[in-house]
Amino acid sequence: MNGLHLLSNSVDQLAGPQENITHCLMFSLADEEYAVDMLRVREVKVLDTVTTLPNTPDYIRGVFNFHGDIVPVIDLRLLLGADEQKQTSKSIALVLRLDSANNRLVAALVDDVLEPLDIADEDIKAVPDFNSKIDTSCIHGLVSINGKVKVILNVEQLLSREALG
Amino acid sequence: MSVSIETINCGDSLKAENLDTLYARLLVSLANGEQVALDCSELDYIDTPALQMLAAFSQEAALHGHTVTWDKTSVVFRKNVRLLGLEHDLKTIDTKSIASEEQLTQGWDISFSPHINFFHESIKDPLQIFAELASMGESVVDVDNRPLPLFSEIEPDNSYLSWQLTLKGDAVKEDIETIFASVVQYCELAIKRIVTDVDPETEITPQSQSQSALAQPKNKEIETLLRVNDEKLDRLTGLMDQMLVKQHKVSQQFNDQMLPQTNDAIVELENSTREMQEAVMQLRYLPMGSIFNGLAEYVTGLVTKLSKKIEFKLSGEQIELDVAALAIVDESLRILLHGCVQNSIVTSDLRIAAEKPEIASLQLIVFQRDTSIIIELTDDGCGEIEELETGLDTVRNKITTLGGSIDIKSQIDEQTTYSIQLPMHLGVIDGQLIRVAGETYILPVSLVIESLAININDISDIAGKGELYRWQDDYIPIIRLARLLSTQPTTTELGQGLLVVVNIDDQKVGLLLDDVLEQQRIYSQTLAIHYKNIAGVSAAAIMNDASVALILDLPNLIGHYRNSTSTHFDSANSGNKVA
Repeated sequence: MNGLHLLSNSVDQLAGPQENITHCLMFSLADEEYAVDMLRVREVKVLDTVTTLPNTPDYIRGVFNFHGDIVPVIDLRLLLGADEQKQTSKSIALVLRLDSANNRLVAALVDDVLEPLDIADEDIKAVPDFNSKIDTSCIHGLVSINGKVKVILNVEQLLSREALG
Repeated sequence: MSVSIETINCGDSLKAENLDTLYARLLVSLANGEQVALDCSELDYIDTPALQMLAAFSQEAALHGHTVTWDKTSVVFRKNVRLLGLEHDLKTIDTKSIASEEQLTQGWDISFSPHINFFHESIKDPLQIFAELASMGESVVDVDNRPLPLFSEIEPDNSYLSWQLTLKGDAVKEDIETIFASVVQYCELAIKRIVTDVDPETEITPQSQSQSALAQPKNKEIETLLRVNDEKLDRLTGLMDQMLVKQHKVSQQFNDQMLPQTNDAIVELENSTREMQEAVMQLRYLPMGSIFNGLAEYVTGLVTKLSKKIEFKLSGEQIELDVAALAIVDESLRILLHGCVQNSIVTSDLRIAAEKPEIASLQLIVFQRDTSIIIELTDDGCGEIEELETGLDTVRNKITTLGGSIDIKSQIDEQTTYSIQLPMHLGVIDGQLIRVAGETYILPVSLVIESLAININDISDIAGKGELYRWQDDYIPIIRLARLLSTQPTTTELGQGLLVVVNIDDQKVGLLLDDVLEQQRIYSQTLAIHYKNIAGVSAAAIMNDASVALILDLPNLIGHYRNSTSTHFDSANSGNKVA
């Protein structure tokens, strides 16, 4: 975790230690940059094989073997509606903790993993409603850095459309 | 003014969930300084939290100089008071129990102190534990009621009491541990062998003698069981999985380079890894047979006590179950067996009068049916199950927590059958591996009748009926499995595929698929741990190459497909649909 403190592109270089800062892992998807709370990330993994599941929505790519556990794989591009029905072609996945209570895991396919970033709570803006292309239920908020908007993911909501068993 | 006695009726059932009313009523009576008589004549169910509360009430009333009188008491009430060793506290006996002066030659000292939140955590009531211990031999229970708070301060669903129990006889330690298996994490427990011999040098000998003397006549194999931390087991499974992944990569690399001299070593490594994977998976499973002896002894104990004649037959000892599930199955079966022997099966005299065989029959059968494990208990008793209701609720709850269900069929004066159905992932099944559209799937072997290469001449395409195949003078529907699984079929020509004839709800159906591979023992997991159960899939398993394969639930898969398409399940000439 040491590397996190050496970040050059911190949101606010003057931010005091008393402020609420979230260490985020950054990733790219369809030319957009996304952030996810580092504490939610269990592992970054290149998936060898994914087993497809019948009778599930498009964004559920299947399941894979994660250290002996059978974990679902979601295609974030399709889930968020970030791109017109095009599957994520690469096999880089973030293995995320869906909720802190049950230790449920989900793997999210992304295009690329980027440099981590510290984000202060006060810089997070609410998601405006007008952008109908993106499903906003899984988005915690937006943050603007050097004029570029980054999307903060709400991990807990990733499978909220599914009635989990 | 003379003191009048208030009689309070305790109803027919007192348990943690419904204590509020009685507690409030008793608090009022304490505040008013009433002399109280408790009518317990109708109680046919009372649990430990309720008895604990009554003990606290009795104690506090005594402090105020009152005596609680126990007006009338039911059999269940007296039995449960005795099991918990609360006779003195609840003044249900006047005489002090005569401490046995005889020297114990063998037995166990069990000290059992539930944690304060025991009733929240444990699904097993201490009463059940003591009842099971009592069935293993003569037991003396000594309760420690000192931790009981004042009645006004008691939290009825906290656990305050602890017990010291002496179990006489030749019980085996493992059997005692089995009884406590599901509660060890919620209590302090010590099980010590009673040693009477003063001479320390000969101390060891009588123990080992009694052990072997016990083992020999029963012709039981002595099995040493180790208690292993769940996390260590998880770690082992995780490491095993990493090894599997790496071994698979190494194999692939060597295969790509086709190095002949190393081939043997690689094959050996593959085989060893496979065997080790199987051995690691097996650690979490035990055969049903491992609880059969305990169940048989439990029934023998009940039969002797109630002087009934029963022949108890058990089969299916080879069926393996997840260890945690097995403990719950064991507890559930004991409750059901108790009901069968106590209520359903009557004494020989009454049986003869009812023109039934003198010796009653009790049968436990365990088997695998398609995608479930079935445990069936049948008695030829009176077929009335009402008296068992409360116990049955407990069993139903336990089985539901496992994701299973229980079904009861009874014919008055004939027999009762309890059928417990458990999801497949709790057991080990024999699976038939198949290939469809580049993926491996698993079918339960029990469903598969035969697999055959398709003879084009035997196909009929009947309008409205879809594709049919002539098989053993019969026409069976052809189901294109790839279409049900919404994957792209690699085989489009019927003549190139294989047809696997399966039995689905007593109907023969031909599944069109790409290949039939080997059969294998399958250790499966439910998808609901991280995701959820999905239609058409009963569980999933990790294969030898570390990939995941789905175990298909064919009836459900076909049903789901029929519902989602308006037409009869599809024929070859319907064009490719765009999803």
